[in-house]
Amino acid sequence: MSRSTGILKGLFEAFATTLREMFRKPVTIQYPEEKKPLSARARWRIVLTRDPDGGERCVACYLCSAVCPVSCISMQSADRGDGRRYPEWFRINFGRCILCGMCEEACPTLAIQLTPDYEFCKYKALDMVYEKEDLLIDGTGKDPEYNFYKHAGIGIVNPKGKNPDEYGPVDIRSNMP
Amino acid sequence: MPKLIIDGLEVEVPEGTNVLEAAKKLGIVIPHFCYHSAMGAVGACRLCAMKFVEGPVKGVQVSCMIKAQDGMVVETADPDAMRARRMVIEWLMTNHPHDCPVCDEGGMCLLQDYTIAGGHGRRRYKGKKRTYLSQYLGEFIEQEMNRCIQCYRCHRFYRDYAGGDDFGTKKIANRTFFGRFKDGWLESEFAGNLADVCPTGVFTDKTCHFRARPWELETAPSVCPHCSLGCNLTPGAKLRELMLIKARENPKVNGWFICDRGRFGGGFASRGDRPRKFIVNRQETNRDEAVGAAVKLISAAIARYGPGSVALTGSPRTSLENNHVLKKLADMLKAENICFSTEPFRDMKERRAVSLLNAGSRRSLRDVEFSDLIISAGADPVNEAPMLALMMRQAARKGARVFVIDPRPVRLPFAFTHIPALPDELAEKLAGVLNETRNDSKNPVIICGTDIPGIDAIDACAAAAGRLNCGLFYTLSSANSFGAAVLAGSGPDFGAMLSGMEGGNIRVLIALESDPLGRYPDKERAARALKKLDSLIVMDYLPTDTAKAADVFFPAAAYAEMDGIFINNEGRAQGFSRAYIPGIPVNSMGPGRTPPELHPPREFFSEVPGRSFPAWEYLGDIARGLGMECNNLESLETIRATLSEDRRFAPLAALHPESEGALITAGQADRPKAQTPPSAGGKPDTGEGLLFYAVELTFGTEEISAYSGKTRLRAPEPYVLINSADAAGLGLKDGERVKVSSGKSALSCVLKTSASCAKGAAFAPRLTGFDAAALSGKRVNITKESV
Repeated sequence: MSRSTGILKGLFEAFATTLREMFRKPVTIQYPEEKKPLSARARWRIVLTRDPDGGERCVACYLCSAVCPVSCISMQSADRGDGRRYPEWFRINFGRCILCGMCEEACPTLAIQLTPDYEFCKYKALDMVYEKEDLLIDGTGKDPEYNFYKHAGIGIVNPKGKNPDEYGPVDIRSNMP
Repeated sequence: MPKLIIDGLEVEVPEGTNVLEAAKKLGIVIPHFCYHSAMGAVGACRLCAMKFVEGPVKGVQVSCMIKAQDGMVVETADPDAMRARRMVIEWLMTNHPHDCPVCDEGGMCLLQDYTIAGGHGRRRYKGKKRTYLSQYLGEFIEQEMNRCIQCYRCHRFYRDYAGGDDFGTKKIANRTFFGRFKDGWLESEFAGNLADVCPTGVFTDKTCHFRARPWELETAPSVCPHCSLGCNLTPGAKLRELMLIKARENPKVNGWFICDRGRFGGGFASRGDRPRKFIVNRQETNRDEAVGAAVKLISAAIARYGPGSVALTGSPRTSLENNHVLKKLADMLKAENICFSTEPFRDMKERRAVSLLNAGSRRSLRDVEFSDLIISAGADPVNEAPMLALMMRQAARKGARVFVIDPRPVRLPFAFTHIPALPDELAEKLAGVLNETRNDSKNPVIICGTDIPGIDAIDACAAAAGRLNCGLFYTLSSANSFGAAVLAGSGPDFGAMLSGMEGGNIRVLIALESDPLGRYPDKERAARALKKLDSLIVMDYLPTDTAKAADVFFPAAAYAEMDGIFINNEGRAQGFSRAYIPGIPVNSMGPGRTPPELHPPREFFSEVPGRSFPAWEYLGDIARGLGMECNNLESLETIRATLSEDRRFAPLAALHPESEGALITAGQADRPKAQTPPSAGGKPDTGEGLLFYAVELTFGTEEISAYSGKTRLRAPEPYVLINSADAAGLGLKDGERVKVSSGKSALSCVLKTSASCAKGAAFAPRLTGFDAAALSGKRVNITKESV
């Protein structure tokens, strides 16, 4: 093939492609008016959920903050007064979060969950820091039946020995079996 | 010494060592719960199984129960042994509530570690779990009995090791319960160690309840500041708040444990009213301005009245380096008025005691455990130096005879002979006891207090120890009393400095972590004298009366917040390291957003807010500001180098924080003379009435922990204690409100009586807000208080 035919071929191919694409249906989506369906396992903004009784699920065990590879979770645990452990404050810096989901995996009470909400850009970096009141939702999220305290035998939701997998408390003043 | 082979490695261990310990020596750690080096083996958990291949014992055996013998060949990773361990840990876990997320032990839990190490990771047992109702054990220890695995460590520590009798075992088999007969504070002064010995989360530190995980804590090897024994501990701080204090092992000092004053006395560091600002004339300012102001005041006083117009007080509760730099500053100023305690009588007695200790007679705290005759004169171990009582108990358990010669009805967690004697009679009674007992004892030790005994008793103890070849052990008042006494030597005491202030010769006082207004026995005199000063410069971390009255105030760093050295009562210099940078705790900073009191602030700081620095930095700044040549005060290394120039402190050169410490001998060169009467406090008056002494208590009287809210909870109501017969003679009954008066001063408190209290004496604790010190050493009248 001579040099001139090569140039002509390239020219015509390019024009032909352009012409062809003019009659194709466009792939561009008019975001935000139009939104693409997310995959079933998409995980974005983190929330704190409540147990079925409406209580805060988070017990401030620090496993999420310990496992977080970018150290974007911080909190202070405390006693609510009745022996229930809860986060006095709980803070996630979404400016730093890489949405890896390891906090959700580590969470023993299923409190911290990643949601499909990806639209939370901000103009100021400090607004990416979410406090507990921004994170806590009113529902159970995934696993609607689960209540940590019904399985851990320390008597917060049910009195001691009243959970389904427990015997009643030992009577320490009797030697009967 | 038997030699045995463990996993193909030969090891030689002392006679009587068990195989588990022998393996540990090789660095092979096999999971175990019930065995503890201090408390021995009982074979309760059955977890430390190993396979004994050759030798006198064969088969899979619980290694803590087998003494190492010659010819043993042991395999720790044998499949049979591993299977045994896996099954045992699975059984132990059948009743465990799996509540690690809400358990304070999580992260430092032996059960967590050894469950995984033992090979059990997934629960197979589907049956129900046993439960207990937990008890309220006071504000120091939290109990959650469901987590128990029945290793009996708590029982063995509390009853056997510490001698408590209000806690023990109930029921049998897997329903075994460890607790009190009914809810209430654990009475032992060593109850806090339950949190350390419990391998799981049954007993946890309530002062740190739900506050932190161990991996978040900033820790460093440290030394307890709450008495003169210098027990080793590990403070843990989170977000600039001192939260959790744990015992650290030192085989020469405290062994494995610490007392509750040391463990729960850390609240002072995070108090809301801790002074954290530089103050000049009641105005908040910055470090440079404060240094400038101090320099101006000092140089003005020197220019006008000469170097004698500046007085400096160091402190027995601050580090050796701080006191040393203060002394250097005094030397550079040519100021002769420098002392290291604001309680002259105690100061003089401690200087005397320290100078009497020598390499031959002094005993370490741990040596007390191995003596066979203990004679304590004028000391109240549980109250003045709690861990001493624990060591004395270990000696008593090994068969030592213990005599306590003291006017107070001394309480100790074991059987002993109490000989009530007034401070004047201590020397005589001591000689009597020694005559009877010295000959059939191999390793005797004489313990002497320095609070209520006089200088004569302190001398008599040293003389007896020298003559009869006994060990000598003085209890002092504070963590660095020894260091302060060595630096003070034969210098003036604080009483002389007060006279200087009253006479107008002293115009400026620099108080380094000392509180003359709060600690000098005659508070009114101190207040009058300090009012005459032109200026008062204070460096401290406690909100003391003196700190509040300061013209120039520098916020200092506390023990866990800086590097330093304390010298304990034995003369053992121990280094401590900085665990965290002091500043306003993040949790008390607020406001962020709603609820504002809870969130930490949302802005960034380039510097730690409210940061305090070690006092030596300020003193160095002042020296530089005064134009002194002081390059050697720039860093801790150079300060220690100048310190080591003093022959007595030469052993410090080899010191590092995790060592057993370096022994310092004060020497007799500048021993204060026995005849020198302290300028205040001295000999008790003669006359009518009971002889009154202010005394120490485990909780509430020690200067630093008195500022900690949690230890204050265990401080009693103010009381005065007298002999029952004396009380009957005065027509008074136990529990009545009485007035204790001497001259113009009087105290109002509750009367306690005891038959074992010496006749003719009265005792009251130096509690905050109860000015017992004012009457100490005086004759008092006790009358019923009219309503």
